[in-house]
Amino acid sequence: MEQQKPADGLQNLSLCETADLIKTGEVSATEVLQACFAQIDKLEPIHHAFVWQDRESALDRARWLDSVRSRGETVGPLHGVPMAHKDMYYRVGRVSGCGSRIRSDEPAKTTATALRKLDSAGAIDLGGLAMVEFAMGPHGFNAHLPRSLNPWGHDRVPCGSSSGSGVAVASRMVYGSLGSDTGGSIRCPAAANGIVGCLPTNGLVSRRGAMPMSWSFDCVGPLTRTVKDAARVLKAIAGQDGLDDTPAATPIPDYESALEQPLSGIRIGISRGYFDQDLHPDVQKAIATSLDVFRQAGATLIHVDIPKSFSLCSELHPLVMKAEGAANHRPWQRTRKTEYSEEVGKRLEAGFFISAVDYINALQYRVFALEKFTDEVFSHVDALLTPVLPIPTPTLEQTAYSNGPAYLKMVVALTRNTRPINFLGLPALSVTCGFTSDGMPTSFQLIGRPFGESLLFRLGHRFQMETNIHLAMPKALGA
Amino acid sequence: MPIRAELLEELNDETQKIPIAQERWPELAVELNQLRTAAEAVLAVHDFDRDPAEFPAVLRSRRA
Repeated sequence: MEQQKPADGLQNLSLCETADLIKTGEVSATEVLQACFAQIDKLEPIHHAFVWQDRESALDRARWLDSVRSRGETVGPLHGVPMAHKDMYYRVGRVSGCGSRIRSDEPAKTTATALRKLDSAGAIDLGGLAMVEFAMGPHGFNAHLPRSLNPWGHDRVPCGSSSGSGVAVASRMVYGSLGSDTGGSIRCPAAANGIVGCLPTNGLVSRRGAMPMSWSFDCVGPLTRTVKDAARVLKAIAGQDGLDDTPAATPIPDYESALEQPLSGIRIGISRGYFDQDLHPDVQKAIATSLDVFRQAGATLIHVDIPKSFSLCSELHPLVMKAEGAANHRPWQRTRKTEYSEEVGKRLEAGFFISAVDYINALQYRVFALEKFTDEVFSHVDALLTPVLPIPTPTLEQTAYSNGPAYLKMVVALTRNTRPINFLGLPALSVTCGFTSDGMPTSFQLIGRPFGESLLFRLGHRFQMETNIHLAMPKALGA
Repeated sequence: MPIRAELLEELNDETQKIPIAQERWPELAVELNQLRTAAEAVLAVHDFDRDPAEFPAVLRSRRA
């Protein structure tokens, strides 16, 4: 009698569940990939998460992985798992357009370390995902691409700049995705699309072969549906590669093995100052409920004052980002300005007039601010819990460029809680924690000490196990 | 004294040479004055001996 295979509903399994089924031989990598194709065929015409797909190469790889499995072997912890990534991770000979016209016909000369590591872990790279042009913008809109739609509400932004990553993972088209986070571009789309997003400690993951936006702040990290999935993907991509000097020489923990440890003795910080300002009541309520979940799970909640220096981190972030971005884009800004969308073309203009002295003073301040924040916050608590977006996910109309000052205000609000964390280089984990009264998901971020991802995963995993909020299905998927 | 739109335009003509629309100069002046306010604020805690390249080492020293 033929063994019954869980072919139906494969899309609703998590990345880890799927990898484990492939490992035990209950499903093949090819079957899983075909299930992804079916989901993409169903939803991509509406959601526009992909820029390109390479189904032929993906199928070849799935068949090869199945042949390896048939010999009783597996390549790694992601064996046979279909993923797709923000279209800014280079692979030799392939075009990664970075959401732009300018790079739309330039094959890469190198392969990103993060992709090489995922290959080594057995993942299947299915395609390139939509993103904001050159990763410059938090709402997710790209004038060069069909609009990516949020599966929880087509009238709402998917956020960005890793917009396609958020939409593809939430729509169950793939099991996980690499995004990049310079000011919130992993955590914001994760929050808006009701999934998990991990900003690793600055320097934990090599950026070699990833499109640069701002060298001081850029981080590579995963978007997934569960915290456990994010832990598995981060373990696969973290660590030195001998090519990018930034990754720290630090042993990468086995994040998954620590997930089930109890929370007793863990101190979670409730912020007094900055993060509790300008907070929408619906978000405030979801955060309060989340804190109660952690309290009941054994964690200790402690109010902690956010140092006054923190708000200056938020104000200095654009100074550093725009100076670095302008320096990198200067040749194109001079000669190919018309190939940028109007919105993104203007975004870097201020960077050309920031003085080198102001830029360097901001980077000097960054060191001071990191010491101050870690000393004053993490001497009292082990992790800080704050909202990701202080407001409900905005509508497409609210973030329309034509809205003038209202648009600017909205764009600034979207990254208010995320960009200072990039400035400090700290890790943060975005986890869906509830819904605002309009039915849209909202998230907290857990902020930890440098290289403290293990604890953040442990807390986030426990929250998902206690609440099952992560199992809620977006409206567009038939919920 | 705040940064003036005219100054930015002249600076651009002489050094950066970026095609920037005429109506953008007043907006850029506002944006740059905001950034300059932030840049001025850091001087209150400026440390002569602070090397920005220390940042990764400080991250490691504060690790979990």
